[in-house]
Amino acid sequence: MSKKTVLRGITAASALLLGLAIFGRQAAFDNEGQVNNFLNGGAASGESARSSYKDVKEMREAERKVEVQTEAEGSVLFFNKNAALPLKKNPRVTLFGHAAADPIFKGTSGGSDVKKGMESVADFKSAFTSRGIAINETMYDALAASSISRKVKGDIAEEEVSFYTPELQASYASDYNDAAIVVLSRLGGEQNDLAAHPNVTGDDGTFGVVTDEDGYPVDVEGKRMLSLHDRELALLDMIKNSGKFAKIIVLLNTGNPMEIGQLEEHGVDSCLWIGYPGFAGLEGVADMLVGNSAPTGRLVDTYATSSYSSPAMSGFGDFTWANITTRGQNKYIVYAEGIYIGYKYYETRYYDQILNKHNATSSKGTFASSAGWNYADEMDYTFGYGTSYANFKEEVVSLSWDQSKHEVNAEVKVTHLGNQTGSLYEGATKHTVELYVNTPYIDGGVEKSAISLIGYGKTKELKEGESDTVKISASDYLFASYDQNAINGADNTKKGCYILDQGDYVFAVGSDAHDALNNVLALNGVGGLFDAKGNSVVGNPSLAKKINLAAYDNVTYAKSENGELVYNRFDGLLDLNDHVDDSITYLTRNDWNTFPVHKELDGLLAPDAVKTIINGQWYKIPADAPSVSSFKHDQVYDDPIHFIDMKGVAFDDEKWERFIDQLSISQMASIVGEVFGNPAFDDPINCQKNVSYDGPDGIQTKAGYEHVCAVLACSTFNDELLKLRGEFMAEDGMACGQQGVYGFGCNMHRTPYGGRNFEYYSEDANMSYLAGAVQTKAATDKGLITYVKHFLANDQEIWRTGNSTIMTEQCLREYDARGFEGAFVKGGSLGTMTSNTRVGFEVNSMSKSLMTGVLRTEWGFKGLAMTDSSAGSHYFLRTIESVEAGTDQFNNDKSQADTIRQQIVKSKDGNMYKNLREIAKRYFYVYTHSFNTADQTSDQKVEVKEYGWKIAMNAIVISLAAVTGALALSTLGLSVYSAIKGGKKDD
Amino acid sequence: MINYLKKSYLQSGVGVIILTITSLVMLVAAIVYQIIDFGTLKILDEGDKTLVFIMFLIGGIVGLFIPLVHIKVVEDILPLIPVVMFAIGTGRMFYLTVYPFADMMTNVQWFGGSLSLYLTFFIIYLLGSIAAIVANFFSKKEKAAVEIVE
Repeated sequence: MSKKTVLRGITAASALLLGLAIFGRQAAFDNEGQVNNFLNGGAASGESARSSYKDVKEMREAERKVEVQTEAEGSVLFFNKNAALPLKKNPRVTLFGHAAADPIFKGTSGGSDVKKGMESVADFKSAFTSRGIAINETMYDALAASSISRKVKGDIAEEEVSFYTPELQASYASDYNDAAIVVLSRLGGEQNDLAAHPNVTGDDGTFGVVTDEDGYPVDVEGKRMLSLHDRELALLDMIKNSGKFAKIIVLLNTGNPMEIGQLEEHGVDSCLWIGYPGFAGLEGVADMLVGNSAPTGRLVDTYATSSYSSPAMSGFGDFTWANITTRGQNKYIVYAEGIYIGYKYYETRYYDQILNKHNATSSKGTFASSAGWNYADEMDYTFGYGTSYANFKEEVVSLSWDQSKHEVNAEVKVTHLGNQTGSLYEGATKHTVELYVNTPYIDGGVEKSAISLIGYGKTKELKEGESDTVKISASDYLFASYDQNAINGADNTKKGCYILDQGDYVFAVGSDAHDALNNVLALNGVGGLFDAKGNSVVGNPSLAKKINLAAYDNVTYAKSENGELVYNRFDGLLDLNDHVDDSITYLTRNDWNTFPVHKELDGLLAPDAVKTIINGQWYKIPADAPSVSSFKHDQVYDDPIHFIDMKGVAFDDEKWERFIDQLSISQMASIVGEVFGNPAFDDPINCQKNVSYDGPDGIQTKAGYEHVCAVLACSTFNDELLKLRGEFMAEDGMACGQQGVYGFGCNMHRTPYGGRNFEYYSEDANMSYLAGAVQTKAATDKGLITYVKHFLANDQEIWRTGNSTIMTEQCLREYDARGFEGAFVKGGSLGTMTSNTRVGFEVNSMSKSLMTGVLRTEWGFKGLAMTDSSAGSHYFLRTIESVEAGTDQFNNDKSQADTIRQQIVKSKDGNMYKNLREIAKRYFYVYTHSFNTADQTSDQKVEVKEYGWKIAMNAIVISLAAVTGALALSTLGLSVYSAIKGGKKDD
Repeated sequence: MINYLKKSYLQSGVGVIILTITSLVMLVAAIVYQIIDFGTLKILDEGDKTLVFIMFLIGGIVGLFIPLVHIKVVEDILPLIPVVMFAIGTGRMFYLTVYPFADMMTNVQWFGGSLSLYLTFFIIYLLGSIAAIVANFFSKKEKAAVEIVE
């Protein structure tokens, strides 16, 4: 090697390093939010004037207690034969099932880091030990050492029964056999429906589905993933047949309802659903097992005999337009079930079965019935179900519907009748009261569920003989029906509004939706009733009350609370039948033979008008757009208006215009390109940076705290706990120095297979409305900005990127929209994250009807509307259309700032400039409500600092470029020199 | 002509041989890369895979023709060209690999694409680039392999 070649070689090496550095820098800068989180996420500042605690440690201790209580109050006890639970004190038990040693703490999406072994994380071993439960360590260690991987999608990640070798079986032959505790689990998450299949990848990056011959999704074993698999049943049989265990307890570690009807016949004494427990929930589970507390949760989802049997499953999965191939446009799903989702389907069909109406017992939609459809065959545990260690008696003290105030009020006296016979439980127990309504259905009229939850309440802790009276108040809005064909009572030129039909409304209390419906039927003098197991029951008419509404009402809810008209805003945008008559048959209770069929929904043809909507390029600069030059910017005032000076300034105050005038167009545009928060603004605004990360069950940071999953928190039916959950999320934000969270999750559990059902509240829209309102209000009041997500119709993960969601406006209004409405209208959320799906044919963030019409106009939303991850969504998500529709920010996508700036500067788009000023106003308005502002003063200067890692990466790239350039020039110079001097000398 | 080619290639030094073989491998790999379906990485538009391909195409072709160039100064500098091209292509491949890697780390398949394929090609390209760098440390005729007798 000569000097020349050595120099050349070093130049080459430097060039490679430069290439890697340039693209490494680009990857990091393109995703700076995540890099910031990765690098800084462990830093807990912990101090805020808004905190209710003296320090983070004190807050965490209080938070943990609430988590443990929430786990107990949300866990649902399905059955408890011979008072199997609680166990005696200090029991010696053996854990079975892969999840016993590898529990699912959370689903695979946002939220805080939580892994077994982390200091704050309770696993089964640590939780049980802390409560005096001795576990069979031989078995536990074997399970912990198992090679089973839970990362495989579409796999239940369970051991074969052969795993339990004779040596392992010997470990419980004479000890650790007070109880066998079997943990069964199912994992769901983002991009990971319970039907996701690892071997099929769609062109949106999502795992695809493999279906059976009827179009229903199957897992890697070709089975319904939510069914009990042979491995699980064989395990139960092995335990039962061993004859060693006094009791067999099953814990369901899942966010999705499983098919558990077979458990009892396989020897299980007690079954308890524990959800995903987050950091501390398993301590609550241990408490319940040994009687330190009692499970008092009620189901917020239906546990059907077959997880395929709801009509929504027919429209779940992978559907492709027959005449569209463009990525991001070619997929759709159909909400052919209409409003009959979850229990509303099963219970309404039961109602008609009892009354022998509407072909309820036809074979259409039968999955578990031997002949025609039969409720008892199709149902395991219905919505609202849950038993406990104690027995209670409910008595309706009063029940009234104040039709002038539009309010239903119920007082229900609850008396503790004593614990189960033979129970070892000595503590007090709470009891949930559920209030339902049966509304008058007119054959062929607007669709109505035969029974709907409208309110709930929970008693204080009661001991035997003690009573408590629960008061429930519910708005009649919650049982008004959206009638697309109604004349709007406030403006008869418009069609559609919420209506209340004339007729008898029967309000009923019940232990679950079915029990309440039976009480309704009993009051109506109907016989032949039965429960979910097929046992004859008579119902309790004293728990129901019939109240007549004398006249049809299309006026009361023709306008929103905000005083804005509520009418059909989605004509032609939502329902394919608006374009081609009868192209979709929606389920109607008027004829249960309309139960949808999966295959008949596939391969639909999109008419040209629909294709145009789906394409989405509709924006043109309006003719009356203001001139770009008509707006002020970069204004310098003698007395500048600081951000903190705007705190408390009303949204409509003109001071906002003067405040915004101080900004440059680039500064305003930077708000649009969100990067997990937004950078600081220095003089003259002086606004601190804001940081937001993914939730909704915890803030996604290493310093965060993962709460029990939302569905379990919702199952507490306890507003006080939901309120505390919201407050602690805000405290978490303060502790982590993060002002916003992408949550809470208000999407619906449309089917049991939704991958993120665990982080959404319920299958019931009213339940989501009520829970979302409480939790959001608590967090917002404490200064956390909640980007309630994914607004809306993001009810499956498969093809959630740009897929159309075809439905009726009634379904949209009463189901998907209702689920969110409480968080905005009652909870006062100041943020939302839109779904990447379409509402009908329009991408949600690009839908003016949704973003401006419903959200901002009808619901009066003044907050920030941000897309879901815009990075990776450009192929269907359009910037200008989104902003024009009412969207403010694009998550994780700095590039969008430049897009909007170019539109204003290069295209001279004054309309977009006006929009951008509104966005800026909304941004600053929202963040004046952040807990951050409690620590700021008017004279406080904010310095805009670049992150250290960005400075370092720039320095590395510049240095390498300089070195490489210098080396290259040196190589060239040396070569030229050699050539001049005789060429070969240096060789 | 044929003799010229034979002479040019067979009289090349070890550095040129390494670079030529590397270039051939990179060229083949680039063609295979272009053909294989990686699954669609959602941050990409359809054409974005092309940059990597073009870099390795240019770098590979230049590398293959280096033995034929006998112009002073140019023949000294030319071996750097494939490395520069490979460096850009490998850097870009690294960028692409980050996304499915992030998916794996988060256990959320958001960005899509096949990590195993991206990673495989990144490693191939990285090794090829390193080989090309090693080749640059040798002079053109250092350790000639075969003497050609006319």
